Amino acid sequence: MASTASQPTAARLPMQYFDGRRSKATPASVVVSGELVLISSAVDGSLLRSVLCKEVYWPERTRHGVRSAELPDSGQLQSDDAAAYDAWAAMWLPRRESWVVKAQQSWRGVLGVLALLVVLVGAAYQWGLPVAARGITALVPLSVDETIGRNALAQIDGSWMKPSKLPAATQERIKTRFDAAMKAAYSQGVPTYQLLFRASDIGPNAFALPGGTMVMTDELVNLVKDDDVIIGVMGHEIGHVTLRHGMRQLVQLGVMQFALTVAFGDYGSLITAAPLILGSMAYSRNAEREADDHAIRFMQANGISPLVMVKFFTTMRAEQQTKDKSTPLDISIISSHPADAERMDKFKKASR
Amino acid sequence: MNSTLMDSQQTPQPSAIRQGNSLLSAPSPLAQVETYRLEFSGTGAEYFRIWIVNLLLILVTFGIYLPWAKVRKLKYFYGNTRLDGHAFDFHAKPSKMLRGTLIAGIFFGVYSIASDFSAWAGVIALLIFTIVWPVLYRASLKFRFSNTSWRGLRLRLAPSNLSEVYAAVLPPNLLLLVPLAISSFSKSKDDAQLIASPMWDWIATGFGIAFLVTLPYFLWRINKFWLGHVAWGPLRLEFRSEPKETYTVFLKTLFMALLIVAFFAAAALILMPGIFRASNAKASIAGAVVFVPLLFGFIIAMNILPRAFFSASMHNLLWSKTGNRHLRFKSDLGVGSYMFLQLKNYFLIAITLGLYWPFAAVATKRMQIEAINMKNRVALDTLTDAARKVETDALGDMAADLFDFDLGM
Repeated sequence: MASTASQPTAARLPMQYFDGRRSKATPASVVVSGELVLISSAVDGSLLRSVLCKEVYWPERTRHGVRSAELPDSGQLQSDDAAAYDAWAAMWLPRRESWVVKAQQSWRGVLGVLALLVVLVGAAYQWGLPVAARGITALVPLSVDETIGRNALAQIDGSWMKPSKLPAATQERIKTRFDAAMKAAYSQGVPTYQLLFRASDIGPNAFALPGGTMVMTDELVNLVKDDDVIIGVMGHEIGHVTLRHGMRQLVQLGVMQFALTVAFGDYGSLITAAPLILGSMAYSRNAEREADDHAIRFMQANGISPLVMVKFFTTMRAEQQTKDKSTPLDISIISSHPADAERMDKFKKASR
Repeated sequence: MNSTLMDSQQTPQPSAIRQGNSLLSAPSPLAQVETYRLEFSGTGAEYFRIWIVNLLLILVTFGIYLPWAKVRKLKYFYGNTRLDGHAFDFHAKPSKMLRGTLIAGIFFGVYSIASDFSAWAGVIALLIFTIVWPVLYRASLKFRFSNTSWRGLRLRLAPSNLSEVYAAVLPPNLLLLVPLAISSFSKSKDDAQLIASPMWDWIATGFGIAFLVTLPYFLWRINKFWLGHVAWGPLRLEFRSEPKETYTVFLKTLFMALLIVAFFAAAALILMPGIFRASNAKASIAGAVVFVPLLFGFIIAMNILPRAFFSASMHNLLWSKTGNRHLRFKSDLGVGSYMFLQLKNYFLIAITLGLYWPFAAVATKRMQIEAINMKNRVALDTLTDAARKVETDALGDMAADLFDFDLGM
């Protein structure tokens, strides 16, 4: 203890001692001696308590705030002189400061962590989450997709869709044609699916629900009179089904929402809404691209030129323009689908 | 109070060196009332650093780090909150909270996807949640209090009957459950014939209205429960407020929302007098230039101002009506400046893409904490603790966090 004697100020730290049962602070002097921490009264020097150093929860360094050490069996040592405590702890406690505390207390460390965080969030968003969503979806039985799809269909039927007015013969013709196309495209075994026709408020459209239900609106069938185009559109929709985009989107949305809540929880949904919507739209655009790729393979397996889809996009665009005259805003970052030009390019290239 | 003081004698403290007879001291009255204001010394810059490191560690550990992050955050906020010169402290051990986090996480995951399956699954999940929530809520209060200390003494949740929590929480949840169940059944075709008659619409509406009308009452009950069970040493707090004060806060908030609607409606009529006559394209474009910002302004004002008004008013109500015969709190949070602070916070969070968030959290906490003062007529350094049991089961704590969806690291 020779060093203790030569550096009395450094070894003995004045702190406030609480015994854990009384609200009165006792001015104390704290010194580390071997494996023990000795707490003695600052008034008369009598020993108040001695504890094993490793049984104490020593405080971490922060710029502001009290230093409060927790003793076993609930006593506390507190110091409001953070600088004095930190110097004493660095000198006398046999404990290295964790890199977490070091990083938290240096702006350089924080900037490094921030950069790393941005890169990791970007990578997780771009690759990690899609891969994880695919993995999780693979673990979920298909019957879950089917239940969700059935539920969604019931809700849609109750609100904005009515029974189809297409002649039975037309419906039958398209179904037969699509059955044959499915058999040609899936030689290994056709996935379960169900093709439905509905009159709707949403104009010419087609969509797939998880589990294999695909809905085509009467307006779409009436607009494109070419069955090849219909097969192309269905090839896109069955792509959503077999790639289980619905389930994957559900997982991705849930994880994004959780992550945003962890980061910005106290500020409610106004702050997290924008990144959530933008994020899920970007995932949705990727799903559309995958489904387009699927449509191309589907058409090629059936000897249909992907070029018919270019015709389809042109027809759809013309139809939209006759309806609301103005040119719709085509900003891809706030859209659930990629820009038409990009999609048409893809089908053109595939037909070469 | 005598019985609790007797208890404290029975707690052996093996490694402590006893100090005379002082364990028996009762609160000694003061000659005059002392007033202390709560102080907060945390800064946004420092919390930013803690937050960033927490987020990175949560990300790379796939969420396992959540309890460590939470403890670091709370220790920072508590350690910077001082009353009479003494800081608060938070004592929970993250490793003990981990199990609770995992269980709560699984429970939360199942609950949040259940409603995607079917109407029945959603309703059943909601019902289970309604039944389990009071247990978790009380466990979370116990855990939070018994891990919080001031002047070296832990707070605790005074003994309570679970039925008190159920009485406050179950009725509003059940009132809400009925219309939710009816609407989810009427949406699904298979079950729709179960509730085909329009009578069900009336029932759903009736329950919905009953829920809204009674919500302030039940919120008052839950506040009365938790504030009335805060105990520190031999002192126990009481919430001395009548339900009508909570109703007043709700009605004022409603009035505030109506004012915002009226303001924006008037602005729209003045700035776009031809709003209903615009027929040519030119007028509609000019209209959009005014209309779109107005709509944005309306959405933002509606999302921020009533909420800020409500939390500031509730904060003042809770911390002005709480106390006992030895001490009482008073809160004088400026409602207007709190609303302005929240507008500023949202604006800065938006333009910094979220990086301002920790600064906003600290500024909000500072304003809330420094609005509170305490008047006491008891010598604060003469109190002794009763026998206490440290709650180590953190399940309730993390579960309440997850279900309130208010994690915010």
